[in-house]
Amino acid sequence: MDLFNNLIYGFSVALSLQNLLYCLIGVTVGTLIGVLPGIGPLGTIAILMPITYGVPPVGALIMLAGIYYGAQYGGSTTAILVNLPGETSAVVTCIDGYQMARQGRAGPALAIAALGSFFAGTVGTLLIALFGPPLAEIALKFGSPEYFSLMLMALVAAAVLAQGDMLKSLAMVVIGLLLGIVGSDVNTGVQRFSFGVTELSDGIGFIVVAVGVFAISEIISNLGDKDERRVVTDKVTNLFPSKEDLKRSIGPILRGTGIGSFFGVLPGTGPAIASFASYMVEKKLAADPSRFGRGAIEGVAGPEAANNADAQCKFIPMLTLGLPASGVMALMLGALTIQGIQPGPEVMTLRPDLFWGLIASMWIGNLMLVVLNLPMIGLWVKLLRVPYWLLFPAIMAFSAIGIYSVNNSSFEIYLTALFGIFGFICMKLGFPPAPMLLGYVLGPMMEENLRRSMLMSGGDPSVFFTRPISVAFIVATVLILIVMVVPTVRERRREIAD
Amino acid sequence: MPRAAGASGKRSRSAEERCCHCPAKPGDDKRSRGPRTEFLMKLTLSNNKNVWAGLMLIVIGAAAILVARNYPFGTALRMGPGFFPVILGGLLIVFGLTILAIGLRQGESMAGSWSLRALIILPLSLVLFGLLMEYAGFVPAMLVLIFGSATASTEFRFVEVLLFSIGLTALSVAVFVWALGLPYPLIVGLD
Repeated sequence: MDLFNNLIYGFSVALSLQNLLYCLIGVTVGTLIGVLPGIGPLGTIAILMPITYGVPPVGALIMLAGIYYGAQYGGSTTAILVNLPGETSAVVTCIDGYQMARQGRAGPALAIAALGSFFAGTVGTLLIALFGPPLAEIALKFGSPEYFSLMLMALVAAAVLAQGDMLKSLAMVVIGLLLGIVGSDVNTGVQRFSFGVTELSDGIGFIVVAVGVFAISEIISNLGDKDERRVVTDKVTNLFPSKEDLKRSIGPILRGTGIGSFFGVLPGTGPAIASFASYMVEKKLAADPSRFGRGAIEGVAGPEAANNADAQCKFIPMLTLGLPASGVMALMLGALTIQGIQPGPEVMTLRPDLFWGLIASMWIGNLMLVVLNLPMIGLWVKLLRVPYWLLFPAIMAFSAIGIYSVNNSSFEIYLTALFGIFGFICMKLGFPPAPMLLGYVLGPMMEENLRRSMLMSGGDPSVFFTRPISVAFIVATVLILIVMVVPTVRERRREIAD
Repeated sequence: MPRAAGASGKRSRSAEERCCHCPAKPGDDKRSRGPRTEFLMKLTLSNNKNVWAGLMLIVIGAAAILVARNYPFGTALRMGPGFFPVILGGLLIVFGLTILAIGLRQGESMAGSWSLRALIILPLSLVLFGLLMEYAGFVPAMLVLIFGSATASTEFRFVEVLLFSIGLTALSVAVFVWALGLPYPLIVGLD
C-alpha cells in the first residue's frame, strides 16, 4: 500500500539522528516559549528562522514545526497550573483546567491534556498523509486562473474568519500584498517601491517583517501593560488520571479531534476557535452542564484535542497547495522559499523526503512531548518565575543577531525597528498583524498568476469565471463574504472572539 | 469569555466595555448609549480608534498610488508593473474611507496605554545596535542593545541588568561568534 510505504519512508527520514535532534530542539524550544508568556510561536519562529538557514530544508522544517506544536503543549501547561494561557489556543483550557488544579487535580488535567493532544496529533498526521497526495494531485492540474482564484479565496477567508474586525483584517491583507511588491518586478525588471535603496531591490526581507511585527511590537505592547503574574506554589502530584477521568475524556477527545480537524483546514480560523467550539459542544452534550467551569475534565480533554488537531491540519493546505492558512503557516512557507523550495503541489513529488519526513516527525514530536514533558512539568513551572524585565532584552538580542546574520546588513535592523513601531500602531488601532503576513507571502505569487491568466486569456477577465474550478473558488469567496456580512453571523462571531 | 481571561490583559479593557453592551437589545442600546457616546466623543476624535485607523489606510493607499503612478500601468492583457499596486492602493483607500466613516459614527476610543517609553527605547536600541555593529563591533553592539532595551521596562534594575547584559553578551560571543562562526569583529580595531 502506497500510504504505508510513504509513511515508512517518512519515518526513515525523520528517525535519522540529525532530524531527531532537530525535532527535539524544536519541541523543547516550543514548550519553553509556550510556557513563557509574552512571546508567541509566531515571534519565536521568526526569530529562530535565520538559524535554520544553515540546516538542510527537512531539518529546518522539522524544527520549526516542532516549535509550533510544542508551544501548544506549553501553553496548556500554564493554562492549567496558573490560569495563564501561554498561547491563545489555551484560553479555553484555563476555564476547567485551572479549576481542576485548584481542586488538587492538576496532574490528571495535565495528563489528559497531553494524551488528548497526542491522540489528536496522531489523527492529524494520518489525515495529512491520507489527504495530502490526492489534494496535491488535483492542484497539479491548476492553471494560473485557478491559482489566482484559490489565493483570493484563501486570503479573503483568512481575513474574514480571523478574530477581530473583518474590514481591518482585509486591509491588512492588502497592505501585506503591497509589501510583497517591493523590489524589482519579475517581468519587467522595474524597481518598485525601493526608492533607490539598494537593500530594497530584492524586496523586504521576510524575517524583517515577521520579527518586527510579531516580536518587537509584541514586546512594546507587553511593556505597556502591567504585568501581573501569579506565583506558583502548588506542587504537581499524582499525574495519573483515574479510570473515571479516562472514561469521561474519551468522547470529548474523539469529538474534539473531529472539530479541530475540520477547523484546521479552514484558513484563518485559529486554534482558539476550534477549542472554543469543542468546549461548547461538550457543554451541550454533557448530562450535567453545570459541572463545566468547575473543573470538568471534559472541558480540558475536548478543547486540547481540538487545538492540536487544528494545528496539525493547518499543514494540509500549506504542504499540498502552498497556501498558508495561518500566520505560522505563512512563516513555514517563507522558510521553504528561503530554502530554495518553491511551495506548491510539486513539493510532494520533487521533495518526498521533505513532505513525508515532516509528517512523520510531527508524530514523533508529539510523542516526545508526552514522554518528555509530563515528567518535566516542574521545571517548566519554575521557568514561569523568570521575570519579564530580563526576558525581553534577551529576546531583543536574539532577534537582532538573527536578522543581522541573514545579510550582515544594518539596514535590515533599522527596517525591523520600523516594522516594530508600525506593528504596534496597528495593534493599537485594532489591525490584526497575521493577515498582513499572509498577504505578504502570497503577494508576488498572486500578481504573477493574475498577469499570466490575463496573458493567457488575451486580456479577458472572464477567464476566472469560465473555468469551472476557478469559478468555484470565486463563488466560495463571494459566499464567505456574504455569510460574514450577515449580521447574525457577525454577532455570533463576536461572541466567540470575546 | 475565554478571551477576557487572556494572558496579556491588553484586550481586557475592550472586552469589559463590550460586555456591558452585550445584554442590551438593539433598541434600548441606542438610548442607554447616548450619553456615553457623547462622553466618548468629547473625549476623543484625537483618541478615536477607527478615525485614525481609516486615516492610516487612506494615507498608505494614496502613497502607494502616488509612487506607482510612475510605473507603466500597462493594459489588461499585458499588465505593467504599475497595475497591481494601483489597484491595491485603491482598495486601501476604499477600506480606509469605510473605517473612517464607521469611526465618525460610533466613536470607539483606543484602549490601553501607548507605552511611549518602550515605543521609543526599543526601536532606538535596535538602531544603535545596527550602527555599532558597523562601526564598533559585536561586543559593544550587544551590550548597548541588551542594556539599552532593558531600560524600557519600568522594573529596570541597574546592577542586575548590567550583570545580565555582560553575561548574555559573553554567551552570545561564545555561541554565535566562536561556535557558529559568524564573521563579526568582537571590537573593531582590536583583532
